[in-house]
Amino acid sequence: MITFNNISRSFIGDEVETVAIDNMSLTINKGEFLSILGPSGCGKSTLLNVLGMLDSIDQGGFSFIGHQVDQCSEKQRAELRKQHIGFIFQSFNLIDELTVEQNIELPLYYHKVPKEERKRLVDKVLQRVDIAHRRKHLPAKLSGGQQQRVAIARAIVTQPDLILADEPTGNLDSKNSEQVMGLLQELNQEGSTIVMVTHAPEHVCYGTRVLELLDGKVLKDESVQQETLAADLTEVACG
Amino acid sequence: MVKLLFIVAWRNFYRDKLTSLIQLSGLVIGIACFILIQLYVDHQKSFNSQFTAAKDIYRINLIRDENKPQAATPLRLSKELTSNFQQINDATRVSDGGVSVKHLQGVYAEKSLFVDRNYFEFFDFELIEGDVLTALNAPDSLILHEDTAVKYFSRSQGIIGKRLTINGKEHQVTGVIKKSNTPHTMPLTLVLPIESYFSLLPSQAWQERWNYNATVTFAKIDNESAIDNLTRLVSDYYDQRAKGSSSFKTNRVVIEPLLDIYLDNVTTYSLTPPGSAVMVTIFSVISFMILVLACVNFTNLSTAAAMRRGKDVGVRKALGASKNQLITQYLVEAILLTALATLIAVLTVKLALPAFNTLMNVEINLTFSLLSSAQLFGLAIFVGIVAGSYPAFYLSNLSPAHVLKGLVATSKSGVLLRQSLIVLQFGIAAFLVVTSLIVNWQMQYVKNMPQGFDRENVIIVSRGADIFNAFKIQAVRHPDVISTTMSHTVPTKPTRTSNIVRPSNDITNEIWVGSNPVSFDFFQTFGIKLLSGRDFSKAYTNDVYEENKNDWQASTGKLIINQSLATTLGWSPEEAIDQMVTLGGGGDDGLHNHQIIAVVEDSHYINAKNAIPPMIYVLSGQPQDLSLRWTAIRFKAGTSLQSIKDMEQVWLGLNGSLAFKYDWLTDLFSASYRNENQQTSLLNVFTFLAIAVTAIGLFGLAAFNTQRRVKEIAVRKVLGASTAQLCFMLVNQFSSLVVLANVIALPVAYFLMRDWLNGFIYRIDMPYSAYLLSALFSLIIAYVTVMVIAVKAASAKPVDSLSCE
Repeated sequence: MITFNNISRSFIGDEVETVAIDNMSLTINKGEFLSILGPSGCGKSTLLNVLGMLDSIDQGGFSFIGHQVDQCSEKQRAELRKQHIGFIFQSFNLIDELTVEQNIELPLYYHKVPKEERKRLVDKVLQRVDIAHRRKHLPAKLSGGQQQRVAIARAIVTQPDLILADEPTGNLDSKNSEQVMGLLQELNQEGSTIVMVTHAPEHVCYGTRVLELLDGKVLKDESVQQETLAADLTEVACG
Repeated sequence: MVKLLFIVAWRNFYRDKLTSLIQLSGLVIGIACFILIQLYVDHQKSFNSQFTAAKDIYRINLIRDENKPQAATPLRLSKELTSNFQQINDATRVSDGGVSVKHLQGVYAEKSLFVDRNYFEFFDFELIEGDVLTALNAPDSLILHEDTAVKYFSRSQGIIGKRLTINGKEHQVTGVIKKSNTPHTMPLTLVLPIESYFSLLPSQAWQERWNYNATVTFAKIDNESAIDNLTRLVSDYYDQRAKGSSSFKTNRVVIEPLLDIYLDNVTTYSLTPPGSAVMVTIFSVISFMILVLACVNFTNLSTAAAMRRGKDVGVRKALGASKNQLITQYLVEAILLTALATLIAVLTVKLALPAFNTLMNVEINLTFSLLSSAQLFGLAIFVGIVAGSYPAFYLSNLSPAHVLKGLVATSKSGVLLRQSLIVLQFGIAAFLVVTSLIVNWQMQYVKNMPQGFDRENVIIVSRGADIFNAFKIQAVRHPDVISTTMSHTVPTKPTRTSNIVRPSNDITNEIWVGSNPVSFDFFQTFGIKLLSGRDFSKAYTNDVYEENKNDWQASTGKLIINQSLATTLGWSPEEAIDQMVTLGGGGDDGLHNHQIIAVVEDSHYINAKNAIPPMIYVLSGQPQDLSLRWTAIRFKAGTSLQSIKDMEQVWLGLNGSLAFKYDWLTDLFSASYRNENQQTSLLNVFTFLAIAVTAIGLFGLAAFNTQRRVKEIAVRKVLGASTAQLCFMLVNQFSSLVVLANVIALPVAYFLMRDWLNGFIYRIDMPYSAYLLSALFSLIIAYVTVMVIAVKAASAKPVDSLSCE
């Protein structure tokens, strides 16, 4: 689905050049739930931004369901992003002035989905994330977990091929985190491809594959075995 | 501590450069406009205040029947006033007229004032040389103004005793009046003793006539409370004597304070053209509006910027700052900024004054006295407090717990206030746009409407009745001259003579008409079209108008009437031909019948602000007979200046002491609209500035709002919003406000403009498109202003704003 071929991305500051992604190659297949782990500054967020086409790469090849993204114009990238990708942020990034359902409806509006269809899709996704009873509320009235469920609803309402989640549980307590992770896992099992950046190793087990980064390079890339889940979880939780 | 106040103020100013600059420039424009207009208003109100006795001096105006008051009064009035009314301490007369001055080889046309000996007791001008007590004693005295002295003698000193020949008689300079810095309503002409004026009269008996109004009478009355009673007494006195000597039924006087006469544009025959009290009021209001706009900008941007300073408030409060200390801090910042703005505004005014003076044809100087500096200082403090108090009290009232959590941004009342202020600003701007559009259109209409005469290629020469016949013979030989004529009055100047026309079958029906005695070729020279009948012609000896005072019925002469009179009499132009009408019967003249030989189109005299009266034209057999005053010459189109020089040679060849003073009719026409043109341009300039201030404010607020929504913009972008959609969203937040502003302002403008247009006789229909244009225009201004910011914000990469968690 996605192929990185020796991509690099660096930021030039006043004095130093920071290499965020260093000559990385990576393939992500359809249906995977990839967790990206690593210390601060290892390039996780940059990788996610590049994946989401919010950021460009300096060199290398980047193909996304058959499109050569590194050759695309800004406008074409925006179009690809709109058609295929949903985003979930650590700080939810809901729009304060809009109600829950208006927030969820927004991407459909930008996709020019007809009004009736929008209503149907919003209803469906509200049920899906179990927040229908709060549909008329403003984000400020919701708990963090509820807000993140709204954000997930908003990300999936357009039925994207790829969901990108940037530390989706970073602002949540453990109970809400588990709910959110459970939801993501369900989405994955229903067929969505998910790429998630996280600080919490215990959440790795919800996915199918884990990538560890350090200094812009892949340190470790392995599948998560469902049967080792319990053992890993215990180990991590205890360690 | 005080030092810290200033340091913090400066750092805040410097940190937020864009907002500070926007606030500053809005204030500079607002304050500069305010100062400039106030200077103008003060100037307009300061006429005649230089005279020591100004408060006790009054001008006596006459009101006859329903006519406008007039400053021209009988020559004997001043004598009657002082000898019969003890409340009147003294009176003086000022007449004006044209004279020919012969000096060295040249003959120059000059205006002159003819004044009584006590002139300087009323109008105590400062003399460069000469003695006010004796300067007017001799009949050949001559007093010059500084500029005229320089014109004739190249200097303004050491010319006492020098001679000038005026109207063929030698005069000796006895005084030179120093140019004054404050304006007054005395024309800067030659000043001659009033005896010289008497010698210009056709008969000395006219000095004693109650119906010959030829002088402006001023009176000194030191008891202000006596004015009402005195007005009644003098009116009765005048009415008893004037009745019967003229056709007017009622004769009243108005006693008008000298300090009011400049802004009185109703009274006719003033010595100098008047200003307009209405315009002065309008400009005062506009200057306050612009100042309010600038204050609004300041308040608006300050509360907006306050969001960013909320944390500052929280920290200070947490550290123990009292509410008062915070208020002081913010007020000091506001006042410092306005003080700076005032300084820059004063400089701006200084730079703009020459252009302003040229535009308005005034001489305003920016002088700094202790008082004016104190006023400016007061203005800065006042504006600072007005503009800064809301932000100060608002900020100091914030709860530290809330602001430290960043909860200020959602303050509903703050948002509402900013929105109302935007509505206020756009309301004022829309109001001014509609007003200036309609004023401009109406003025265009009045200037471009058919005037009933052809003003191109005609010059008007003052006087010349004695030489006209000979002049005409030579002038029409010139290849570029089409025709020449003489008349009592000409288009662009008032009709001075009136008469009564009565239909022959109903002589009790009095129709008041203007009367213009003319020479042959009048209609051809002025391009006034004949609608029916024939022009006056030498072929018909009975055309010439002659009143027979012994046997009124035996008076002769044919009439040409204008269309208005034909309509009033109930005739079409064709029907009017050969009809008989009766003239006279107004005062001491008897009734006499005359035949109508032609109807001409209506022509505007004075200007199109006045209604065209019914008019008769009568033929003056000789130019001297019916006191013809103006010679007019029509040239072929595109004639050169040489033709005019040729005419001057012919003229001077016939009378070497009569100056050939001419004006193009087109110039006289434009001059009659000069005040309107000036004031229309001024209105346009200030409307433009008001819009600029409003746009500046909106720009600042939009910048702030957009900055606040950067993250939202990024989120929407990630969710698939296009740049165009985002721009539309950012711009659109203001459009409902702008529409609301128009909804509020336009009805107000409508009612004001309806009344203003009703004041015109010839007017445009209420142009509803102006309202549409104004609404569109304010929306466009708002869109363009906000779009500048929106495009930048909407095309930014979302990753930059999302990552700043």
